[in-house]
Amino acid sequence: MTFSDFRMRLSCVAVLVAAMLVVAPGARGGALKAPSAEVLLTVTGDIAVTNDGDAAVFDLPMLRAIATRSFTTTTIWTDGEQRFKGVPLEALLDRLGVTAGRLKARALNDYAVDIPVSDAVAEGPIIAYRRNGKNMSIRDKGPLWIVYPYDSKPAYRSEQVYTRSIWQLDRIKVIE
Amino acid sequence: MADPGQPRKRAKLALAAVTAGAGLALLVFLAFEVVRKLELLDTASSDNVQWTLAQAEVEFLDLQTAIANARQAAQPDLGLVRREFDIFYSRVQTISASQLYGMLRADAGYAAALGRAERFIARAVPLIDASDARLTAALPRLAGLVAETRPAVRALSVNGLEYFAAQADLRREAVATTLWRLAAVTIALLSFLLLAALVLARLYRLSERRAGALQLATSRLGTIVRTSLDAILVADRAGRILEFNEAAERIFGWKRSEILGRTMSDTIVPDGHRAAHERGMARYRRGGERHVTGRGRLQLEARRADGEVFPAEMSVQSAEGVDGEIFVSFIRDISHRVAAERELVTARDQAVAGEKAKTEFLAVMSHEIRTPLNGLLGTLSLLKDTRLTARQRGYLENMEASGGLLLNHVNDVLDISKYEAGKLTLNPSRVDLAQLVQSVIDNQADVAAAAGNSIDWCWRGEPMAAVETDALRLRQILINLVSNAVKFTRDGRITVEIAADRSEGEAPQVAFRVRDTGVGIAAEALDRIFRDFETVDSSYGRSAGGAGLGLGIARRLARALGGRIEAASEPGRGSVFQVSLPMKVLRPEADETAARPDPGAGADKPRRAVLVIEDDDINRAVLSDMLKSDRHVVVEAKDGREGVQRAAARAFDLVLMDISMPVMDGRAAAREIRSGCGRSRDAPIIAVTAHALPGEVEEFRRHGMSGYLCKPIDRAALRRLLAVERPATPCAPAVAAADGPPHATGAIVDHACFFDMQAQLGADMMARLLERFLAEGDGTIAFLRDVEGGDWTRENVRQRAHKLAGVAATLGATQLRGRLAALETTCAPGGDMAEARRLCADLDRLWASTTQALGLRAVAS
Repeated sequence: MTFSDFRMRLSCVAVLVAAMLVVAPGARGGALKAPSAEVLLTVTGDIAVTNDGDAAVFDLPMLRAIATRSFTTTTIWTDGEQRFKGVPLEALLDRLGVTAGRLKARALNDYAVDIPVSDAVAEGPIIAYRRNGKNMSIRDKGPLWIVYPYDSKPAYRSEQVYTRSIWQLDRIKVIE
Repeated sequence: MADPGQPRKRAKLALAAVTAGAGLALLVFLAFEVVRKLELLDTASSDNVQWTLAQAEVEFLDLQTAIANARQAAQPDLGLVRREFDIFYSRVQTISASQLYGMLRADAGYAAALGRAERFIARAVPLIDASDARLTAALPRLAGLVAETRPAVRALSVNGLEYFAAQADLRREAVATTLWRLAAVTIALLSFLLLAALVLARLYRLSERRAGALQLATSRLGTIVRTSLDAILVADRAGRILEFNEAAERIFGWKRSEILGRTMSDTIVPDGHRAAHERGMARYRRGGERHVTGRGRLQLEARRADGEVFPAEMSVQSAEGVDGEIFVSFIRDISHRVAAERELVTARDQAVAGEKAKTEFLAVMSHEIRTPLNGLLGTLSLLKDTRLTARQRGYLENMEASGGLLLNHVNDVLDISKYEAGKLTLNPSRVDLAQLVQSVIDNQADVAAAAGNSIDWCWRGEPMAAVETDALRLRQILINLVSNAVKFTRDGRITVEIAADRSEGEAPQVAFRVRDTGVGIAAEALDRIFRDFETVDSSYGRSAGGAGLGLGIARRLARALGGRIEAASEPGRGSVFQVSLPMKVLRPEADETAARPDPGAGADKPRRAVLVIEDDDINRAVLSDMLKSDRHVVVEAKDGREGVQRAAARAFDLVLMDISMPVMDGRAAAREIRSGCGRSRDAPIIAVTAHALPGEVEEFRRHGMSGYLCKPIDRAALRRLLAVERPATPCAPAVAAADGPPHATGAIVDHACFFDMQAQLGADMMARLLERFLAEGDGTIAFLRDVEGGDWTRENVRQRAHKLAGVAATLGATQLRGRLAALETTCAPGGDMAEARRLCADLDRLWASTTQALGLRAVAS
């Protein structure tokens, strides 16, 4: 955390709010702080808020800070019910001021898939970072895994959704 | 309409619908199946899986590359090595754990490869998770492990690929099978639809044809209804008129448009019948009996629009209409017919009345003429017995001849009137032809002799013992023919030939030919000689007399007997008349040859006490003189009243009763004598009458008379009557019977009844009956007389008496029947058996006199 940022947040909320309104209309929570831990996710492209050049980078605490949601579901890749915890995709995109377009999501192994922004709905997919109460390592398809609540509705049990369920996620590019 | 094929047809339709439904359901099911399978093919997760498997190999290669790079670099990027390892680790984890690969794991090759990959991970993890220094040191070993494992990872991908290719083949095959099935079902369904279409087309054509036929029938029916001469009227249950044809318009005078919808009661039913009509309709509506509908033709009255009531003939039938039952009435105006019928009936009644009047006139006239004539002729015959000069005797004979002729004419006229009135009745009986023809010859012998003619008769062919015919009529025919022949023959010969003619088939005929050697008849006159009042002029024809009715009567009588009469002649040589009559030829009877006693005026004949009741003095005197000259005792009475008094005072053997009398006529007098307690109450009463109309005989019987004599009185007939009427002498038991026991009432034998029976049964039958009666009577009387016998019980006596009484009644054995009936009554339960014994006491005497009276035994026996 830089000093100026700190001072600005502490001394002048009104200015901050005004600036936020001007710079990032539709984004909540104002500007992003810089990550303090290992960066897990880098979002680039058409976003309203950045904290690293024209990218928005997130560490685990930052992701946790946006919002958290948990659900239990089975997946076709695992054995038995799994409990996932993560930041709702909707909340993340909100935070980044993304309202339309698609997300080009990429994994560590360079697997890439397009996810329409419209998928980001309440009770929709989350970017999970915990499975069964543990942070996910790369071996456990971590550190980030876009998970849909497959058991909640049949639409989430389609091949397309399975394709969009990208694990070992580390980059997202927002395309209009 | 009740169609017996309807339920079957319906069942067929239902079956077709079910089949079509099932086929459609199968089609839909298969279509869904195909769609499902296509979807499966389309979005098969196998693509993803294959990608994952291929990715495993890629990621393994990445790891190998990272390791190789790290080994060559001075500062090896261990982070990358670890990450690549972790990625591969994660991949193998996924392949091992995911259900997507469950099926694959069952594949042996795949499982082996997977096992080697897992073993690689197990061996690599300690090296990767070690410190950087140890990892760096372990890089060559790690590279070796990777190189060693690489074929396994390759095999993993290849095996998976093969497996999924096979799976895809299977799935495609399944889809293909389903598609084949779908095609088969589709073809079947299409065939079925085609068949259904054909059937429908056929049905359509059929219904088209039917509709055509129906239309034709309807138009034909319409034409019939329109052109019918009878009114056709259709009404509903309420009597409202629904249809009214042109003939109905003509007959009733109503316009169709005016009358439709109105009730029959308001329009065509006459006022007088309206209440009855409405009652009938109401009764029908209640489900009651139908008096008009379906009863065939009925004649009733109907009303025209102008109120005129006319007779109509109507027939009503009910039919099923759209709104329930309707009545179809056919009505014919029969006013003309009824009027014509009425005229006919009137004309007939008038004609019948005229005919009746004529007949009655003739009958009365003949009576009025014959009565005085009878007097004349009777007196003449009495006069002949007195002493006369030769001249007087000549006058007398002339008078007798003229009187006889006159009587003949009257009789002729009477015969014709009877024949024309259809009152000629035939009484067939056993007739001895020889005897009959002889009597005809005898009758004409004097006249023939007077004209110098010889007359005789002979058989042509086999003689016949007896025939069955009406003797009186046959005799009349023959007398007419013979007298005709005698009239037109001078000093010649008349022959009667009798011939049985069996050649003409079924009914045996007997031909009588009367030949003469007289003047003959001209050929042109032959066909008119049988006409009434037709006389052929001849020099002595008129002198022979004749009203010209004789041959006409002969022909009528011959026809009445079922035969015919023909004439042939040669002028100057003579004529022959032939009568052919159907007759039943009878077998000769045993006693046929025995000569019948000729009831002459013999002095040995029994004397009778005879009551003559006659208002006409001359006739009474004639009758009395005839009887007295035969030595009978005669008492006279001038009218019925006096006759009844005389009959009461004395027991007569015979009562001769005139019918038309002042004060009390013959019928009433006979009734009084019969119903009173006079001594002659049981004497035979014979009607003496010029009334000869048939039917009257029966009437006389009803009034208690037992027979009749026709005026003028034939002396021979009178003698015959007296000979048979009472076989006993006046002082013998018959008279005594009147003073006898109360049950012995009536004559011993009612001869009228006896002869009646004989006429009805025929001589043969009667003889057998008498024989039986004699045998049975002997037995029964012997039994009844033996009152001390063991069998002489109440019931036995009753039964035997009853049986014999029946036969006795049949034969006219009045007294015997009376006694037996009394005995039967007495023997009924509760009867007095002592009385029964008394009744039986002199039964043998009564039996003896009965058998004598019936001529079954000699008096002496």
